[in-house]
Amino acid sequence: MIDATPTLATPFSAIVGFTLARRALLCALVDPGLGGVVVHGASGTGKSELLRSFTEFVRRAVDPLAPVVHLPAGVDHEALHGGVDLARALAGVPGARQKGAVERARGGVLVVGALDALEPWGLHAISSDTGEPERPLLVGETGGSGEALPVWFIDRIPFHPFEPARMEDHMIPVMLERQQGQARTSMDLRETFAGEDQRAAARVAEARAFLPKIIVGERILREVMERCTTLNVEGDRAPTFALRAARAHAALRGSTIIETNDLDFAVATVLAVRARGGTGQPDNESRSAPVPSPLRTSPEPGVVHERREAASETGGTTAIDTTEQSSGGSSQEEGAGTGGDGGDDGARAVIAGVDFNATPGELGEILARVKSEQQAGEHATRENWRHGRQVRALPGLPHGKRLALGATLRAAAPHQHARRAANTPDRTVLRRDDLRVQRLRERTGTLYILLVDASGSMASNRMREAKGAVARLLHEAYVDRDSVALIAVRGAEADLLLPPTRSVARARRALETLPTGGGTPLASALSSALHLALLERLRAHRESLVVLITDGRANVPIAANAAGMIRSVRRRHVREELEGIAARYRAAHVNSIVIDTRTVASTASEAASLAQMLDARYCRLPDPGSRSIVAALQSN
Amino acid sequence: MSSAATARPARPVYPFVAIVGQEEMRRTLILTAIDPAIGGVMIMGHRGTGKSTAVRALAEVMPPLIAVEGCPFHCAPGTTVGLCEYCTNEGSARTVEMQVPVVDLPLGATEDRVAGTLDIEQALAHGRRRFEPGVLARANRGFLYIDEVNLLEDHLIDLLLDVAASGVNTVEREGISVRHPAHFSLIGSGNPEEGELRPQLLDRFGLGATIETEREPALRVEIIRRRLAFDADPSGFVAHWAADTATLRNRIGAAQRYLPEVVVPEPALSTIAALTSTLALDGHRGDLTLARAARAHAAFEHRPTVTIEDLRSVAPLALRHRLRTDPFTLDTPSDTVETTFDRIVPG
Repeated sequence: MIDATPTLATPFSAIVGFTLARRALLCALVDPGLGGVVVHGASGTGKSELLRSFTEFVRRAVDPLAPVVHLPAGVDHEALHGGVDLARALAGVPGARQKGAVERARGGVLVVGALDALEPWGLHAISSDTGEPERPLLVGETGGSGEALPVWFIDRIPFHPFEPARMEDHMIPVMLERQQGQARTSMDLRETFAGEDQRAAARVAEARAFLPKIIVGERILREVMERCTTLNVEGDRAPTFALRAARAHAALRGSTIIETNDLDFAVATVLAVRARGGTGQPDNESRSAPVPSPLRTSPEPGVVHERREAASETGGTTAIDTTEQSSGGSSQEEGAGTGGDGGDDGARAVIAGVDFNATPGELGEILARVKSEQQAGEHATRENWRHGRQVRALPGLPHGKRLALGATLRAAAPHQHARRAANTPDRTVLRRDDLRVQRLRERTGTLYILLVDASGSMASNRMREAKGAVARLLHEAYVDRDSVALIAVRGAEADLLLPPTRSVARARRALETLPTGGGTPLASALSSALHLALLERLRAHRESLVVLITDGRANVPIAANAAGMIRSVRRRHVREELEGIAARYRAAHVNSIVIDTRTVASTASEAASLAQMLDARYCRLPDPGSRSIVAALQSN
Repeated sequence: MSSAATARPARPVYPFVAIVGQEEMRRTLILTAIDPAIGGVMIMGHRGTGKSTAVRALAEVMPPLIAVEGCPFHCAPGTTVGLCEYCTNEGSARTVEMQVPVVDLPLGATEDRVAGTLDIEQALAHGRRRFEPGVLARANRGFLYIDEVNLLEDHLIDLLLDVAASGVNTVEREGISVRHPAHFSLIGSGNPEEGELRPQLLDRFGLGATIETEREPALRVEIIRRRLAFDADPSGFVAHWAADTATLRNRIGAAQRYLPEVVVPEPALSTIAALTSTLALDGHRGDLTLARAARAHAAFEHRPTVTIEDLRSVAPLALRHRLRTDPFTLDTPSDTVETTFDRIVPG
C-alpha cells in the first residue's frame, strides 16, 4: 500500500480490552499529580499499540502542543539529563546545550516502550519526582507480570494496570472486526471514533476542573488505609496514590463523591501491584500474581506450602528466626547438628521451614566450584564502549561511544598553530581524526539463574539441600556483585519466585515460601530462564549461568492443550519442546549446568541427556543418605 | 552547565516539621545538621516512607550560609585562601546569604560529572583549560543526597566517601589539576531488599537510621491527610508550618553555635569505650561518631555536658550499622546495642 495511513495508531476509544489501563491513562490526565502509568501484560496483548494510541489521543484531542518524547532502550546519560551539544559546540556556538529527554517531555508525555531494558539508573531518573509540575507524564509498558522491574521503581509510579494474556471471549470478535476494519482503511475507523475521542477528551477536561471539588472524607481515608493494611502494602506513597486515583476516577464519572467502585479501581490499578500478601507479616511478593484481584492471597489449592508447617500460627516465622540465630550464625555448619540436638518443637519448626543452617552439601560444593571458575574466567571484568571506567582512549568517532575529551584535545593541540592560520584565529580546530573515544572496563559479576525442580518427584531432602545451596550462593553473591534469580519448576508452568537480586532479605522470603508438588514443567522453566538471561545481557551487560537442579523427569509441556493429550503424545511434545529450547540455548550461547538429583545411578539418565542437548555441564549429586535431617524427621 | 545533579526547583518543599513519625530518621538528620563532622547518615528502610521528602526538607530548617560572592564553591569568607582558587585570586570582599545546598546525585552520574572536569566549551572555543565544577562543588557546605545508594556504582561511592572524609576534592584528569573544598554531609537512602551495601561502606556512614512503614492506623491516616493537604495547596501548607520551621531552624542554629562549648566528661567517655568494646566493634570510627553524635544531641538540648541519656538516645544510631551481623538474621541489631547499653549502664 502506498497510502501512509496504516502507520497511524488505533483511535484511543477504538482500543478493545485494556479497560483498566485506559481508565488509568485517563485518570493520569485528570490529575497530573498522578504522574505515571505502567501497563503490564504478556507480549502480544497490544501494549505498544495502546501507548501509541494514547499519545496520539493526547495530541489530537487533549493538548496539541503537548510534547511527546519516546525514550529508546539504549539511552545514555546525556540523552536523559542533557548536556553539551557537541556538534554545535564544535561549530563554535557558545553555550550550546541539548536538553535531556525528561526535560523535553515537560508538560507532555514521556513514553518508554522498553522499561524492562532500561538500566537501574535510567529507571531511577525517569521515575524521580513523577507527578511534580516540572515532570512529564510517564507512560511505559512491561512484559509478563512486572517481575523484571525493581520494586522501588514500581513504588514510584502510581498506576500499574495488568492486562490479562487473553481478553474475555466475547470481546474477541469485536477486536477482530475492528482490526479488519483498520486494515481496510484506518481512516474510516478514525472518523468513526474521532467523535468518541473528542468526548473522552471533553470528559477529561471537565473532570480536571471538577477535581478540586471532590473532598476526600475521613471515611474514604480510613477505608483506603484499611485496604492497604489488608494487602500489606508498604510505605505511605501507595495510599496517597490510591486516594488520588480514586478521586480522579470519581471525577471522570462526574461524581463529587468517591464511591466503592472508585476505590475498587484504585485497588486494582494502584495497590494490587504493591500487595505483599498476608497481614502484617513480611511475606512472599504476591505482586508476581498477574491478576487484578489482589485479595487472592491464599496459596492455590493443591499446593503444599512448606511454610505451612513452620508458621501455622501467627508469629511463627519470628520464632523461627530467633531459634535459628541462636543455633549459630555459620551457614557452613553441619545441618545434622542443628536438627539432631534440637528435639523440641521450636527446632523442628526451623527444619520444616527454611533452614539456612543446613549444610548446602554436595550441591553447595558444586556451585561454589562453578562460581570460582566463572569468576576466574573472562566474566569478572569486561571491556566495552559504554560502561565502566576508562582504560584508554582510542581514535574513533563517538557514535554510541563516549568521547574521550582530553585525549581528543591533546591530539588536536599540536596542529592548532597551522590550522588557525587558515581558519578563524581564536578557535580550536578539531578534525575528524583528532577524535578519540573511551575504551571502558566494567566489573560485571554473573547472574545465577537457579531452576529448582520442586515437583512431586523431587525428594524433600533434595529440596532442602537446594535451598541451603541457594542460601550459600547468595551469601557469596553479596560480596561479589553477582545476583541470583530463582525459578520454581513445578505445577503447570514455571514460576519466577525471585527476580534477579542481590538482596538476601528478598531471597530469604522467596525460599521460605517455595511451593512444592505437582508436575515438572521443565520446558517452561528453561524458557523463562533463557528470557531472563537474554534480558540481563541486554540490560546489565552481564552473562548468566543457568543452574538446573532436577531429576530430569519433565512431564508438563508448554502447549496449552496438554491436559487433553494422551500420554505418549504428551511425552513426545515434552521432548520436542525441550529440544527446541535447548537449540535456543546453544544458539544464544547461554551457559548452563545440570545437576542430577536422582539418587540411583542409572545409565539412561534423563537429566544427563538434557545436559547433552543443552551443551551443559552435568554433575550428579551423590546420595546424601541418612545424614539428611528431613529423612530423620520423616521416619519419626 | 546544566549539570548532572538535578537543580533544586523553586516550588515549595514539604516542611520538615510536618513529617509524621519517623523519629529516628529526623533525629539523625538533625544531629548531622548540627555537626557535619558526624560523617553523614544512611537511611535504610521501606520504600515510600518519605526518606527523600525529609532530606529535601532539610534546607529549610538550616540557618542560611554566608558565602563569598561569585565563588563556585560558596566558601565562607576568609576560610579557604590557599585551597579555593577563586577565593585566593579573585576573592571578592562581598558576601551573599544563601540557603544550605541539598544536592541530589543521580544514579547514572559519571565520575567527571561528580568530581568536575574540563570545561569543554572553554577548551573548544578558546583552547583554555578551565575547570568545570561538578556535583561535589555544589554540595560544599551542605548535603549530598543519594537515593537508592545501593544501586550506585562502588567506585563512585568510594570517591564520595573519600571526599566527604577529607573535605577536599582533588581532580587530576584531562590535563587539569584542581583541588577545591568539598565539605558536605553524605546522606544515603535505600531499601535493603534491593541489595545490601558492602559492610565496609556502611561503616563509613556516621549514623544509620532505619525507617519502617508506620503501623499505627491513626498516624498513617494523618500522614496521608497532610500529604494531600500539601499537594492541594503547597504554599498554604508551608505557610501553616512556617512558625514551627523557624523555631526548629533557630534551635539548630543555636545548637551549632553552642556545640564547641559542650564537653564529653570522663564517665561518658568510659561508657562509650565499654560499649564499643563489648560490642566488639573494629576500629574507632564508631567511638568517635558516638561521642560526636552525643555532643550534638546535648547541644540540641542546650546542655553543657554530655549525659548518659544523650548517649542512650544516640548509641543505636551511631553503632547499629557497624555491628557484624549475619545477613540472614532478621533481628534488628538495635536490640543488641540497646541491650548492651542497659547492661553497662543499669537503670
